[in-house]
Amino acid sequence: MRRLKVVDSLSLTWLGVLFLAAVILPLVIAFDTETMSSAQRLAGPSADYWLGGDNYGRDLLARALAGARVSLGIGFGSVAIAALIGVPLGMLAGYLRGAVDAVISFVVDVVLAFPGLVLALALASFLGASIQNVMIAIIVPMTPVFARLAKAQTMAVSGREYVEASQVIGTPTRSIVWRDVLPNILPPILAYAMVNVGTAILIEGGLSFLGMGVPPDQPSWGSMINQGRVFISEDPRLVAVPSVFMLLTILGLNLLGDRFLSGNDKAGVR
Amino acid sequence: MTDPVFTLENGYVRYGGGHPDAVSGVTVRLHKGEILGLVGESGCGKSTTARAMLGLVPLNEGHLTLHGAPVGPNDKRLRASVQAIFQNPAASFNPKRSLLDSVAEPLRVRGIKDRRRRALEELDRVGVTEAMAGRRPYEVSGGQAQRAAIARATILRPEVLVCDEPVSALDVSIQAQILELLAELRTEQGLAMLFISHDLGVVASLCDRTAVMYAGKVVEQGAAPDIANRPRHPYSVALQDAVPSLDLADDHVPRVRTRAVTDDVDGRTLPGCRFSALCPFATDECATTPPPLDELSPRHEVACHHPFAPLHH
Amino acid sequence: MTLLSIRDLVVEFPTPAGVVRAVDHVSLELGFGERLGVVGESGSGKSVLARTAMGLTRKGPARISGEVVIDGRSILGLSERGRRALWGREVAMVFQDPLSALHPITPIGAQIAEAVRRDPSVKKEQAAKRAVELLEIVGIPQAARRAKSRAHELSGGMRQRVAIAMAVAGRPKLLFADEPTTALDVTVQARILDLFDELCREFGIGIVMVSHDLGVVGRHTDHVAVMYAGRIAERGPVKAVFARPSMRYTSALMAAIPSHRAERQTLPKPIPGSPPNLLAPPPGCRFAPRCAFATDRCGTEQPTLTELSGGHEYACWHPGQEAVR
Repeated sequence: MRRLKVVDSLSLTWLGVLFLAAVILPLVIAFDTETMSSAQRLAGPSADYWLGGDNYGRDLLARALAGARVSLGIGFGSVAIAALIGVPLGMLAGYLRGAVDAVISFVVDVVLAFPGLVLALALASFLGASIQNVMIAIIVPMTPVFARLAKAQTMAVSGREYVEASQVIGTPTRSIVWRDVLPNILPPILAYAMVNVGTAILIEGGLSFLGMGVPPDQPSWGSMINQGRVFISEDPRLVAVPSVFMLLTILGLNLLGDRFLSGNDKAGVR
Repeated sequence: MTDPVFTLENGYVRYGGGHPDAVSGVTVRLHKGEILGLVGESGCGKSTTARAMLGLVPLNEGHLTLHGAPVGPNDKRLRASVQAIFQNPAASFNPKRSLLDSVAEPLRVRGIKDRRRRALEELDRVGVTEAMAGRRPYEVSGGQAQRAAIARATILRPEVLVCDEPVSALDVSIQAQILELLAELRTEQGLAMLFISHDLGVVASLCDRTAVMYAGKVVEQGAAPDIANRPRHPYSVALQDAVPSLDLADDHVPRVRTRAVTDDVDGRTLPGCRFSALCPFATDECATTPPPLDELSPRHEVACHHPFAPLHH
Repeated sequence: MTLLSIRDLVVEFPTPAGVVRAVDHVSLELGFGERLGVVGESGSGKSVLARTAMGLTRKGPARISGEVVIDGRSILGLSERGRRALWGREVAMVFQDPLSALHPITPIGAQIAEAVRRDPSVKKEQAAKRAVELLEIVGIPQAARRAKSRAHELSGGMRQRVAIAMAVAGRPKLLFADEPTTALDVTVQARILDLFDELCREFGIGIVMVSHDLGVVGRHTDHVAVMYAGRIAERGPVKAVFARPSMRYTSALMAAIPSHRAERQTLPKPIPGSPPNLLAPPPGCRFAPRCAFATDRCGTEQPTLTELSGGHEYACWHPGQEAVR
């Protein structure tokens, strides 16, 4: 059993609480993110509104948690889809090599030649602002990165003696890829995916901030920062609350990703 | 002499990119119940020969035969009849699976039932207990893992076992256990084995015949005791002389100390005998004409223009 | 005169599962210009012993007690700085993997020159010249040209020669060699071992050679210490020990080595079982559970070193040359 360090426990706690509050809690009590109370306009924290109200007098905490749902959903969702497309492609290229590899690697190289954020921006502005389009804008530049990582990992693993041992036994290629290669390349890919969820949340925030992401009527951290921007001199809280949520979440994901990778090295590399 | 079970006929392996042949016209014939030792130093092509015989690297020329019939590198018959064990026992198992799972894998691939019981039986036969069988490869000792590797290789009752440095990663006390196990397999199952090793002692004590490789070619082969005690190729002599003998009464004076210390000469690029650059007996003929592998005495072949005279004890 | 004296050395590594005692009350001595072989299987503590004697084992992860004295100077109490001053001048080390000692980019000649210049009285030009001389001494052909090569351009044997040249550049009195030829081919190994003999003969360097290979130690050292599970099983002049192994582990180990001059196929005799778990070693003789001659006494009472003849000592209750009954 590995002992968890303090930072790991803190990261886990934050992400756990956020998940409970943003995803589980709404199933029990409905968040009121829309009611505009003139008394709460730019009001400080109170017993009713724990983090105070925004410029329309809406509950800032409720909106930040609702935003978390959108941001986490987009982050995990788009990374999952990118990994589900990219990893199999990369494994095919890495295990079969030859022509398959040449085609896949060419496509990967072409997509990766565009700077990720610019590509996302271009796609988002072309497709229009919606959650689905934000995800597409994140998935397209992210998929080839997963493909490339999976290819490199697959190539490293397929040179190992146990893969050769399986070949000699007569194990079919499909089975070798599924049972010998995949489980052994998964830990670094999962760690990388965790870090990428952070990146995806950041891109979503950026796009929403620019008005090209999540539509303004749906709270997301990016759109909240965008709306609060105007009031930054009067009440920096409107920008600070979603920003801090975003910062802690991304930091937590990165730290856990790193930890996951270094913890897995020990057993996997032997 | 019976017909060989499994052979590599005149095999060539080139890795391309202008590299000289890794394996150059090597013929290996494995007979039922006989262990052929293949010795040589790093880079001589002995492992590549093994890998080619397992279909893991393609042959550029030459072919494999099973019971006299040619067989392709991906042929089902090859996979059923020819199995292997490798140098690093722990590394030859998937780290995410238990030894038992991996040993049962050949049965699973062929859709054979009752896998768990048969795998446990096979493991028990090679001395791995049920408690050990449930562990991951890196949770057991090297000796245990190598036993499990032998169980995996023999569970389908193959005719041929290719062993690539199977004991070099093990301590001597454990090494002797594994050698004993392999010798038993030869006798009990009549396995034909190719045993690759850089350790001349291991080969001399286990193998029936020995082939010596240098720079991609077999330079000498014959009965194991003959190669060990009456080698005739200067390279084989140099190799035997270099082993520090534990028998301190053995005041053996080295007969061949290879020439100069240019141990980075690549013999494969030489037009004549590949050992000629290092050989103290090399003549002009050696530098220009590659010597063929000739049968100098019954079942003792040497590829040398100036072999050592046969010694008689 | 004693060059190296190890007295009652204990090295322990606390782990989450318990304390591993890698070296258990070991005492050894070595004179100037003598060669000592330390043999044993993996986990015998031979490497930890050598590394600790050289001052390489860190006090943080390890608990060390006892004494190590090299040429009159106690090693274990030295500060980091004191040790650095010692390494390369008084003692040097050659490892199994020569690349670990060599810088990948700096030409080998410059690296050796740097080692030579640890003696402040040597001038730069002298050091460069000396580096080429050292390369010649270790048998590198065309040394002046080779001095400009980088480590990765050389073969394994050449690299080990360069590592040896670097180790002896500071004219050490004592050289630790940890499995120095294990990664090398036999013909290359033979030359490297000849080189060690030469260094010892001509420069009076004392050598501690750690190896799993009894043949290597038997042929190229004067004294031998056989280790098992952290303890000295047997020690003494190498010829005496190998001619008359007395601790049953030594006998069993020798019987487990295959002979390369076998006239008939004679399989080496395996030692049953496996080395003890150092977290829970057997109470008496560490070898008792694997020994064919063990009695009740072996299981409870730890044998002490007993002298057989001039300096030849063994730790066994039932000494003898046979490995199996």
